Amino acid sequence: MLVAASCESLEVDKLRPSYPVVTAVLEAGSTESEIAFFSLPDEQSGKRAISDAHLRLRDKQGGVKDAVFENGSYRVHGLPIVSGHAYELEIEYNGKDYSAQCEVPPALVLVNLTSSTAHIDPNTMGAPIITVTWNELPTERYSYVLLLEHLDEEPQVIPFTQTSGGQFAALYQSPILNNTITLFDTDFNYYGPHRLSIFAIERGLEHLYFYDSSDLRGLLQTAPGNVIGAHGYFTGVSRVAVDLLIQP
Amino acid sequence: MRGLRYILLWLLVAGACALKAQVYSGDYQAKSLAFVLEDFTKRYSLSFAYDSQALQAYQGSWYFEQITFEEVMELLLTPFDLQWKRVGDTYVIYPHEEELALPASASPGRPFVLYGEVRDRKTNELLPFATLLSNDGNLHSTTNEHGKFALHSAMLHDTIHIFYVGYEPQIFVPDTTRSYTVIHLLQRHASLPTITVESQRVLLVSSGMDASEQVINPNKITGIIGSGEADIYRAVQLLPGVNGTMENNNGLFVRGSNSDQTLITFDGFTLYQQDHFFGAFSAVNSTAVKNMRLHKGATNARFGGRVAGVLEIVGNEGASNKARAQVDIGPLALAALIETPLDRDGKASAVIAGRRSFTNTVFSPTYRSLFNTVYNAAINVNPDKDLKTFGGEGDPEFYFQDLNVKLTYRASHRDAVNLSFFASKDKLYMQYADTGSFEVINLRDVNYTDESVKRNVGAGMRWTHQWRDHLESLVSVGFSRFTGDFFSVDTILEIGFQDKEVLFYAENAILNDLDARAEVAYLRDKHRVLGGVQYNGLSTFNKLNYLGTSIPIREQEGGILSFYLQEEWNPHSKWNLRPGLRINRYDINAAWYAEPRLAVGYQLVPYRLRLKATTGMVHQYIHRLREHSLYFNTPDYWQFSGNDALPVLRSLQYTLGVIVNVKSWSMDVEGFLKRNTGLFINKGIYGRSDAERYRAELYTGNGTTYGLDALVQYNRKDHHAWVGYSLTYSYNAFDTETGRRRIREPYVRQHEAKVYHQWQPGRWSFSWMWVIGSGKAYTPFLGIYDYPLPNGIVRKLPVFGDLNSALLRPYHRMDVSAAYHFNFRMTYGKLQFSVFNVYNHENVRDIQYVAVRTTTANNEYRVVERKVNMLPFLPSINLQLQF
Repeated sequence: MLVAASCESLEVDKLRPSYPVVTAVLEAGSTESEIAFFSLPDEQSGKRAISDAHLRLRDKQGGVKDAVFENGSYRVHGLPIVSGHAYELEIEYNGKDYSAQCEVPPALVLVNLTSSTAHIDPNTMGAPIITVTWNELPTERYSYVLLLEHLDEEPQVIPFTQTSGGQFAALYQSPILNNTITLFDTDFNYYGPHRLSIFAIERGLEHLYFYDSSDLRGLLQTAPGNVIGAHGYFTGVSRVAVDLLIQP
Repeated sequence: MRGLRYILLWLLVAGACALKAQVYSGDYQAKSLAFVLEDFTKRYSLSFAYDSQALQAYQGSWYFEQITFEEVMELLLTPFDLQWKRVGDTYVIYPHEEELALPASASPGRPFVLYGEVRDRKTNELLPFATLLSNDGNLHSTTNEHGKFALHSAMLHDTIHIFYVGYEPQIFVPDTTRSYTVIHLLQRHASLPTITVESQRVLLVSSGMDASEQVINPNKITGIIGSGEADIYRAVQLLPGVNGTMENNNGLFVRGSNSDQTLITFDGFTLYQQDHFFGAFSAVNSTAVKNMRLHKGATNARFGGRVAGVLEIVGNEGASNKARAQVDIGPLALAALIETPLDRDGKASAVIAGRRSFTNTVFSPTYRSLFNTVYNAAINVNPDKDLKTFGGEGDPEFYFQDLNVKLTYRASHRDAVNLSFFASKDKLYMQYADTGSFEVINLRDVNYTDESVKRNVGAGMRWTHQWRDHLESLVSVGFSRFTGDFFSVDTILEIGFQDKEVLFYAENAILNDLDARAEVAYLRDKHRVLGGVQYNGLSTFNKLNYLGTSIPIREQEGGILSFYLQEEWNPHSKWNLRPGLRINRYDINAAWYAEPRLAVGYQLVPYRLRLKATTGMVHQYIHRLREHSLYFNTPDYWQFSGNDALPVLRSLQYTLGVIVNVKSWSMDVEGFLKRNTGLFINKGIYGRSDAERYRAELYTGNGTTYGLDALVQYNRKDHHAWVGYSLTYSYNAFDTETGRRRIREPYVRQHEAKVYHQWQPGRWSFSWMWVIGSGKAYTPFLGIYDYPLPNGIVRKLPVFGDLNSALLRPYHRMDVSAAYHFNFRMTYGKLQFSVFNVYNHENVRDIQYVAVRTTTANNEYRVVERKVNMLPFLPSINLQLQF
């Protein structure tokens, strides 16, 4: 009996199923889309690309293209991503079907820009300098995320004396619902050309922004997803960008 | 056949002649009667059964020469008002029975019913759930929870056999000139001296004559002390169909159902605090329990409200002839029992049983091991190392206690009133620190303070009255209040900024349960009709305070009004039928629910082979959505069903089984099928610490569970052994975001086997048990992937497998126990040594996951898996003294 008791025929790891993961963000106006398809489990923070799957991207209002595996991920060439269109991703792999759907948000249009050029005094305590407004989308379905990039290859740091700059990244990590934003001088870190990109996203994607992976008591939750049969998120965005020049 | 009869007759006559021919001599001066009988056993190879403790007290001097056995017995026993009876090859010595002067009820033309009661010969205590069987094995009756029985006329033409777990079987011939009979049974006592009781079948587990019903006496199972305290649930978990592998989760998981689907009643009120020590053992003091009856499923119209079954616990009524006391000392707690008659007539008795742990003052090795195991499973500290809770800056303060009080008054044999009270409490106060030594970068030091209190107070009153010979009634009222209070303070010091933050969190949960019942039983000829009305009023109250924000109180009230009617009918000597109907009115959704029930028994071969079958429907209206958790600092959380998020659970059940008895062997095999609608399972595998916890994060669905339970028992002389096996297939499908999917329940083990053996040679008793079960389902962690969001943020996202999609390794463990029984003057004692998990097998209860930050960036972390183990090798020693 003790011999029988010592037999461990089943190991924990052997019983774990393997799950594929899909990540893809379709951007309106693009004719090339990248789709990552890989499997877990693997090493922590690692992933194993699946190269022998059959992926197909379908525009529900017409048009379908197969994806090809290039440089570790799948790419769809020649299928334009159009604002307001719905897309379906179909995957056949290892005898199983996976699918996901998304609708690319309506097009974003710049409505008002108070100024495309602004001067920043390094001794400032923080003052509004530029207001950007774009067309309003239904807030029950869409929200906005912002990206501020400096375009100078050798940027010149603003020597703030009273406060610190570069506060934009901390302030706008999460999506917003208002269709207007006022930029303060302290949002910037550098002089020179900048680009402010405004993305309209499906509100379902907000879960990924608000996902907190390291709660104090280890309250881990599996990440949200919208792929049937697999993990990951398949979504579409529309974008409008405005170039700004920051001067001393 | 006829030849065999002649041979038997010849043997009997020859035996009688041989006995007659034997003469006996003896010279005993100032000796006890027990000494004389022991000496007789040695000299003449006779076999006696008697209460050695009582007979030690009878002292005398005897001298006799060349006299017969009958003359010896008269000489020895008459002065002490004792008598003897031969059962098999054993001479049973017992006190002289008092004749009850009751009017005769048998009159021509009137169906006769013989009422009576079964009592313990030593303590005069009534014995619930005893089985009475006609000589041909076809007809049966059972004593109720008050130890009373009723035999209709069809059973009165023959001798009646009485079986009771842990007692010598008895045979009696019904006396139809008396309408009330008192039957005394002799307890199978391990302190019997060297004399061997030769009875063939002293049962420890009795399979009821009805399907899915088993009676077990926890105080006769010597192997239930394993984790330091005698545990009545551990005795029940030895039965097939009851999960025996969920160590640290002490509810009863019956036939693939969750533990909140099993109703546990104690003298008429519902128990909600089912465990002490966060699941290590049951909250009910075993010394306060007389007997237990388990109904697996919907079989009896008297019961409803839980789909998995009912465990009826009957409290000890106490001796009605003389006062008795008992003390139990274990490595964790001290328990005491006092039982006493309250009057000279034996009409009133009282029992007080209390238990208090000394774990807040004495840290025994058993306690340290148990605490470390339980608490390490409950905290978020270094996932790679166990926390040493003792010997640090502050030792934990933990204690548990419980109290049982029961008063019984019997004005006559027609009346019985019980008042029963129960209170239990667990309290933990603990501080520990996480100084970040296990993280790659020590970002912050956290000091945790946890305090949790869990209480259950219950009280019940039951009054039974026999109005006429054919009519009796029961009125009972029970109330139970369960409270859980959790409070935690986390003081966080951010190393980089020397910034201190204090987080506190408090949660209170209360559940009230009022149960009132009135029922009438009418017995006539071959029919026993039972009808009743029951009201079960429930209310829940939850309050949460998180970071200073008080979440609105959540309070719910609901009630179930039930009417039930049931008939026990013997249409033929071989057939038993029990049709029943229970109708419930649930006031939360103002709906009616009908629950038809039917139990059928057929005696294929008298005594040897009995077939049984049941079908029935049952509904459940309140559910425990979440179990108490030290890890998440949360109490049990109960919620009413009957709404869109949580439908009323309905279970349609079928069983088919057979009972086979061959000499010392008995086998009970039963197949079952349950079709459930309105099941639920928690969506997330992890809790939440904010107001979102009250949002019902559930999947609901339907399922089918089927399988079989088999119990093979061997009971002979001093050996009691059984093998239980359960096979369970459970297919539960839930409506998820991605469609209807099959999800495993974490408490279902496909295969589970239990082996138990108890051997009682003389003053010793030894037992061992072995349990093995298939792996438990859990949710695996698969890995982390990066998701580049449109605004340049890369989010690290963990991926867990489907809910409960992986299996842990099989569970198994062996417990052993040895006890020595002794008498010292008027004191009976038992010294017991037991070892839980004797070969120290690592049984994993669950897998926990902890996020460990690897850099100062918020989104840089790794997920560490942490095995939560069940109890390791755990020796303990217990001493019991009875006065």
